[in-house]
Amino acid sequence: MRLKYLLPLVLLPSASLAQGIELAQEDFSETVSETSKVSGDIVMGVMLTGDAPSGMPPTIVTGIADQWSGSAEASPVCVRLVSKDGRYEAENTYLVGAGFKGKNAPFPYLGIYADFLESRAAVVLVTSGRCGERSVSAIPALWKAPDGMRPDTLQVYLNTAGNPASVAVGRGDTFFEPCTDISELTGLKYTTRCTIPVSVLPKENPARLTFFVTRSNTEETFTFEVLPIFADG
Amino acid sequence: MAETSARNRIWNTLLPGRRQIKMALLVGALLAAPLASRYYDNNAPRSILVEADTGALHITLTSEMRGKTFQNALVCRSREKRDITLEGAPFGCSEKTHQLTPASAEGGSSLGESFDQALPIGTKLLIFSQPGRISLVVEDIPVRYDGTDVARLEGGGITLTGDAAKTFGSLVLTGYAVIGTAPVKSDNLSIIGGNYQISGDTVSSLRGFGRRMLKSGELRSGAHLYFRDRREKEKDPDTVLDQPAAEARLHVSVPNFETGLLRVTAISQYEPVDLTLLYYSTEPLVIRPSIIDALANDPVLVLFATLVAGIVTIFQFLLPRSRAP
Repeated sequence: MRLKYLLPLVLLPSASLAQGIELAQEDFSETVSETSKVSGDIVMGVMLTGDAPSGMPPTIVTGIADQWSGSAEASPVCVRLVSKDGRYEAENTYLVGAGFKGKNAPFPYLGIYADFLESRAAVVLVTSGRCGERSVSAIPALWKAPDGMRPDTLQVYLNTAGNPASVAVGRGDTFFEPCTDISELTGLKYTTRCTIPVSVLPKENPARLTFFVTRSNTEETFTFEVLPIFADG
Repeated sequence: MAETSARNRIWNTLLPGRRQIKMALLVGALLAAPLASRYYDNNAPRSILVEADTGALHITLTSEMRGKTFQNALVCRSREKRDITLEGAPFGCSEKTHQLTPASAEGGSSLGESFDQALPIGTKLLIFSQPGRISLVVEDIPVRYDGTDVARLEGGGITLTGDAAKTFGSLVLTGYAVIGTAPVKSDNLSIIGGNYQISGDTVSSLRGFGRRMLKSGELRSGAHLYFRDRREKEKDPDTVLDQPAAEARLHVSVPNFETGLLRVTAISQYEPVDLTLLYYSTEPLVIRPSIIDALANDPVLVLFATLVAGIVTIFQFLLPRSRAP
């Protein structure tokens, strides 16, 4: 492992505890498998950055929800990280401390596979509530974002089994566009990227996204909620 | 004994340091073997023929698809204006963004149109079949055709059902192709079975003996495959689904309408290509002939080796054995 990855391991736990974000469980849960794992989930990532491989440290950062800073109790947040080839998966519940304050909310990567992730496309899904709950509210995340980044698009990564999809914001009056097929021969986790300008998302209320997946003879519709919490890099 | 030592003296006079020469030859052979093998892998042209039964294939056209008429076809074209209030996707044609051939949308499966429009170079097609149905999904049309009739097929395509599917005949295509489909595309069937043959030149091909079959094998159910170009390309490698690919010529037919499987015969160009097989795993299985295959399948070399071995055997049999002192 390179030295630069040891620094977050040493520094981030203390920093995150000081900022009030820590793992809900004792160990960081992540797995690397020899063969890919097919996923049954549909939404695999909601990010303000892309999924391209990068040599940057595996940082996961979101904006701050009002409920976190205003809550008298720690708020659970589920962070899922998966590689496109399906070989890497991590799912961990973090606790955001009561009255959390700060510019952004960094969720420390405490795993040992930073090198493995360096060469792989990967996406992050941050949802409110503990992992395992049927939460449909996502918080857009910055994955491996450089400092000072000002994202202007929301990227939603879907597993549509390679079928074409389109996305509408709200009732589709302001935004209704087809998504992009990003299938690969060996990619197993997600096949579609929906790009939505941040400017068309509501600033105060959660954005209700409706996805339309065209299968061979039918159309499948599902909705997903994205909280209006946008981090700056 | 005296005769043997005399012979050794003669050899030592003619070739002083014979042992060193033998060692040098042995080391040279050991070093040359992997280099020759690598050179052969990267540079020897070969042709790969694949015959596969599959439920789907992808292709990026490198020649126009022209001259084929699809009778009674259901054609899905993009709408002038998207309408999110419309629902449904008959034959995979989303009503919100596209429109199926009007006549077919109203009634039976054989009221489609006669479609003979050419699809340009660079078009990306997904061809899949189900019992009683064949679909050509136009995934992408090059941007230079924006605003034209053919561009309206993007995201739509052509579907043949019922009797129309039975009159499909065959389709000939050229392009970068993936036969079968990746496991993540679970709505389509991948390869059910098939076989491959790889032919190429051997040493005696230089004397006009023609190409020989160097390797053959079977394809197992669940595979998907493509031809991979061995040559390094500096700019814009030809890709299919983000993989560097070599051009293939395809013949597509549906021999059995009850199973609805596509019978695809694909042949690569005669150039340094590999057959890349992917199963439900991460590491591709690369198949190509080795230099050993080229030597072992050369008829002249095999004949020569047989003759030499025979002569040596005969000499060993006829020559008197050395007597014990």
